[in-house]
Amino acid sequence: MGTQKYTFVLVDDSDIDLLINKRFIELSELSKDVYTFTESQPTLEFIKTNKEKLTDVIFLIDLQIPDMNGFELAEKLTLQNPAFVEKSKIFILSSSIDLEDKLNAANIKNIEAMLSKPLNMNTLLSKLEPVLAK
Amino acid sequence: MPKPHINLLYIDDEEANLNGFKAEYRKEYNIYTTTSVSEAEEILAKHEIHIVLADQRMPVMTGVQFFEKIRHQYSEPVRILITGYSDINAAIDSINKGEVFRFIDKPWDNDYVRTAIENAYDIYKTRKELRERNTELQKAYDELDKFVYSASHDLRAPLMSILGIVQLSELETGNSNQYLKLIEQSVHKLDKFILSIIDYYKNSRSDFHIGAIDFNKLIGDITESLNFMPGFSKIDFNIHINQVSNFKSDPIKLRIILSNIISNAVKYHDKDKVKSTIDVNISCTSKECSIIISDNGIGLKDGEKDNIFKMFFRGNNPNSGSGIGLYIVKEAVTKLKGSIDVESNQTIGTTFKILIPALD
Repeated sequence: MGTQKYTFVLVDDSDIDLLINKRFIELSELSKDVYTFTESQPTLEFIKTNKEKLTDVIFLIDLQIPDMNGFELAEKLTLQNPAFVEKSKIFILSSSIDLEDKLNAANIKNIEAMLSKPLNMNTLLSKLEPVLAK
Repeated sequence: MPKPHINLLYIDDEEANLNGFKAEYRKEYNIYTTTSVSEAEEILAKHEIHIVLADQRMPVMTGVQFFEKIRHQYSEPVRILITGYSDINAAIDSINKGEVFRFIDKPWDNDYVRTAIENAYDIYKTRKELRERNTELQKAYDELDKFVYSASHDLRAPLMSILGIVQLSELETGNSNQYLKLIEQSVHKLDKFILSIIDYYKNSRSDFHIGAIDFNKLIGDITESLNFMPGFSKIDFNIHINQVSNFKSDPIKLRIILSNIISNAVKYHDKDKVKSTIDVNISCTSKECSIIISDNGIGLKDGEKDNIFKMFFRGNNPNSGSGIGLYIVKEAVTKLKGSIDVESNQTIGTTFKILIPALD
């Protein structure tokens, strides 16, 4: 299986959720390279410095991160690294049930989908695998 | 019963009418008079006029036309038209169109005018109260909106974490202790949010309960209730309370204020510093109380200082809370008629200065 080459970047202000999601991804054997961030700035810097080395990155971004929301971070990522984001996949992950957020997700073209927390094996496989297979 | 202070504006082209009116009522009401439309508008702009009386027959414009002219810009004063019998149709028409509240026919009966003025003032007062209620209601609606949005996230987030942990632990064996620890953290997080909502409710809905404040006991209770917090045992508390006389305020609101600020100081202590300190200095007379709480914690980032008291503002920090604590603090300080200031930077730490007057 070629899926191991994918790199996951998780951004979430909750340490607990980062830990859970990282472990899920490890158990799913989708990837061993999982990077976690609690803030947006370090995420942007990490991508800026490492984008040459990273390929096929899958972002799971929480809707509520401290200094900006997940959509804004997705937008910044795209703006700063257009070619890189073109080859990456961005998912917004949230426990929010607010409809407006979900509509927003549908309207922003670089965001693949909106995933509900908790991330579980079924969500991961059903939502991520079709994307990975492309 | 003391008479309310009623401000009247009376416009009439006949000076004699104005003078007669003033002579009769000047002891009861605060009266402005003029013969000119433009001067009338100046008076309306400068003073809080409750009731406007206008003569119908004036050379430049009729009373009804005058009311039409001012009713949009000055919608608050209640309008009374003074007219002779021959203008009765104009008066009826203007009442039906809602331009005037009453009309008084000339020559007027003094008691009738008095009743008309008092009734008009009642209308003015009622409308004003209604506007104030509406503003309060709008604020409550806005808060409720924000609350529902925030609750959908903040109440669900810890639950979804727990659900995730449970699902994860079903896939793995042997790690259950670590997962239980994570569940415990999530439960505390959720509980804290619920407690802060209860605080908010107590603060905004409940009446005042004024009582004598014993700051030694209050601070002791608060620090004791916080000792479960991570890192608490490593923090040095320096508490100086100088309370020589009896100080009265609302103990519930004071507890909300102090416990939120002190628990923030504990939560945001700087793990990189060798020694974490929280200084509490309280100095109290029977009239006023000054409370200064300083920590050498991680401090606020640029631009955060202006926003920390806003509802659901969350600092730029991975551990930031729900954004409700300091909002409640600010509301509580305002209710106690006090003031709160914050000084903070990322090297020294944060200082909150609170001044609270004594309440009876």
